[in-house]
Formats: sequence, C-alpha cells, structure tokens
Amino acid sequence: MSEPGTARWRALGTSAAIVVSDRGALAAARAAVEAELAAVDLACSRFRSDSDLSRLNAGAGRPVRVGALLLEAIAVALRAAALTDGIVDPTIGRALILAGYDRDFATLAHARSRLVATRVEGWQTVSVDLARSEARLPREVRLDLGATAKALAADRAASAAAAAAPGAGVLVNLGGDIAVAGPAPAGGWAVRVADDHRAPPDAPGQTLAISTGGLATSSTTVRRWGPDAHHIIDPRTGLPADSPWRTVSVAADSCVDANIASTAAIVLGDDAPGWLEARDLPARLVDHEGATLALAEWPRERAAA
Amino acid sequence: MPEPSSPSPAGRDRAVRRVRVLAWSVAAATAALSAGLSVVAAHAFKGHDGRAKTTAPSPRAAAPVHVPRAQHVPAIAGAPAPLRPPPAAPTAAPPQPEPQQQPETSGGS
Repeated sequence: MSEPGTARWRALGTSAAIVVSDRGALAAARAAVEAELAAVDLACSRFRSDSDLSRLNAGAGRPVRVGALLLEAIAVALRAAALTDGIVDPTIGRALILAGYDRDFATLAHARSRLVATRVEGWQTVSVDLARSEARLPREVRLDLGATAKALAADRAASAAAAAAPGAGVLVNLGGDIAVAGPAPAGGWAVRVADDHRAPPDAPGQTLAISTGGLATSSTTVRRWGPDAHHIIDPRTGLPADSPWRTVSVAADSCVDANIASTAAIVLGDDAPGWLEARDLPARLVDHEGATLALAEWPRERAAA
Repeated sequence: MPEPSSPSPAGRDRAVRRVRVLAWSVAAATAALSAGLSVVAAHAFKGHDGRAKTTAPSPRAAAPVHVPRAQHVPAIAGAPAPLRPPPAAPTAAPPQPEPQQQPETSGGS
C-alpha cells in the first residue's frame, strides 16, 4: 500500500498544499500545481502591475487583449454573478479599494478610520469577446476576481496534478479552497472546517471526509483590517457584508461552485439557508456566537462529550 | 553743433561679426560647463562610476511562466450551468482518522 505525501508552500498571497495518495508522485504533482498557480497569478492578480487583470483594469474603457486564462477566470466570475443575481459580483474592485483593501493583504498595515461606500457598477457592464480574446470594462469599473479565481486555481491545479500523477489521488488546498481529483483514499480525504484555514487542530470546527469535487469556506473573521472592514463586499451596499454568519462552508461538484455558494451565503445573510437548500448544496453555517447549522447532506456534528 | 559721424558699412560688419563670435563662444562655454558639472555630479558618490549596472531584477526579467490552456471557459451568453452538489456528499470523519493523512483545513483566508 502506497503512503501519501504532502508539500506546503506560499502562493497567491496565501498557503498552498498538495496531498498525493502516492508519495512517489509528489514531485511531479507539485510541479504541475506550481505551474498552474504561477499562471493564475500572472493572469488574475490585482496586485501585480504586469498581470493581465491589471492591464484590463487600466484599460480606461478600451478593449484590452488578454490571455485565455484571464478570459476563463472572467467567464467563471460572470457565471457566479449570474447564478447569484449579482450577489457575487466581480465589479467590486473599486469598493474593495475604497474600503481600504488597496494592496496585497500582507502589506495592509492599518485600518481606515471610516469606510467609504461606492456604487458597484454591476457585472453586466463587463464585455468579453472570446473570438478576439478581448475584454472591456467601463472606465470607472475595476474587476476583483478574488471570490472565484482562487477556487478556479484549486480546481485547475488538482486536475493538472492528477494528470501529472496517473493513478494517484490528489487534494489541493489553496488557503482553505479545496479541490480533489483522481481516486480518493479509502474513507475519503480528511478535511477540517474552521473559521481560519490556519487554525490549529484543536480550534473550533468539524472534521469530515470528502471524495469528490470541492469544498470552500468563506469567513468574515479573517482578512480583516478594521472593526467593520473585511474582504467580502455586499454589491448592494458597496460595503463589507453585514452578515449573521461569520463562516460558511459548502461542498459542491467543484471548488468554484463551492466558493460561489459560500461567498453568496455570507452576503445573503438570513436568506442563505433557503438559498442553499434550494440548490441541495451540503453546507455548514456558523453564526457569531459559534452556533452551527448543517444543511442538505452535510454530516451532523457529534454532541460534545 | 556738429553731427555725430555714422560708422562706415565695413565697420558695422566687423562689429556684427564680433558680436556673433562672442555669442557662439558664450553658448559653447555654457555647454562645456554643463557637461563638466554633470560628470562631477555623477562621480560625487561612491557607486556611481558611470559603468555600474543596477542589481535589482527587472519585473520582466523573471523566468517565463508557461500558461496552461484554459480548461473550460463557461458560456458568457445564455443561461449558465447551475451550481451542482458533489456527486458524493461529505461524510463524517471516522472516529480515528487514518494517521497517514492529517486533515487539511478549509477556513477563511
């Protein structure tokens, strides 16, 4: 029986990990993941002046020729917006900047004293011409793909790693966005859900097993830079979402779908349980007092001893 | 009172030539002085020898990144594919998970 192997490093401004069911395939699988993450960073980073996204955001209303990977990421973000009626909207870039998230989070030193709201122009203002490999934003619109691009990277990386390690099962974890591919180990991949992807094993949370698709967690407890300032923007207000849920985890057919649903649930607030149940998505919601709500086929937690 | 004598045409030409030569000399001296001061300023501090190259890597100098092809570009127009639940739902972790794989953590980031 082969032993699993794990590698961890930093990428996309967060932690990256790959777990392979066969340790002998770890090097090839990691190389495939690193290539994917480097490509996604070059295409989709809001904080790199040489990224495709930065060139598009600087387009001042003109069509900008961009690479296939950014086109894919924009298409994924627009699908997210369409499926959530604009609750997960990529045109929140300017709202994030005005809220104070205007540089790589690792260098975001201090909070602004007052949040500034701005109108979110809406995902329908984004034009994409796949045949010409062009995208165009209105002059005042800035895209932020943070809600979906990391999940897309996890899905792509897991798929690439499985292709590079034939016969092995792989799990990719990008800052809590998890995607699996290939044959899962017996009993599935062990995953712990918590408020913070860096949480120690004894932090509040739940351990479960997944064997297919993806799992994502959105939380307002991390990536904060002030009492009311966090990275999940409500496009209806242009401000960080004021949600009854502090953390939402969702399992889905892909990490992208899981991330769309977990982000939407934070923004939807009281409407989130009904919205998730209507889509039959297994989910775990945690309120600000730590009470949990499990939906659909999410495994119920054992009562504390 | 006698009228002032006007200069002869030849004298006027000589004066104009002298002024022109003087103007060119002043311009040339100014340019030479500027160049000299620039050289002095460039050598005023150690490390500025006029031949040193910057050691900071240019952003363009990074190793080229191979961009994998797009795997599946969702349709932009029309009804998007709905969110799909996982083919197999998550299960409760066994009481004593396999020791070989520590759980990966999904949390906010």
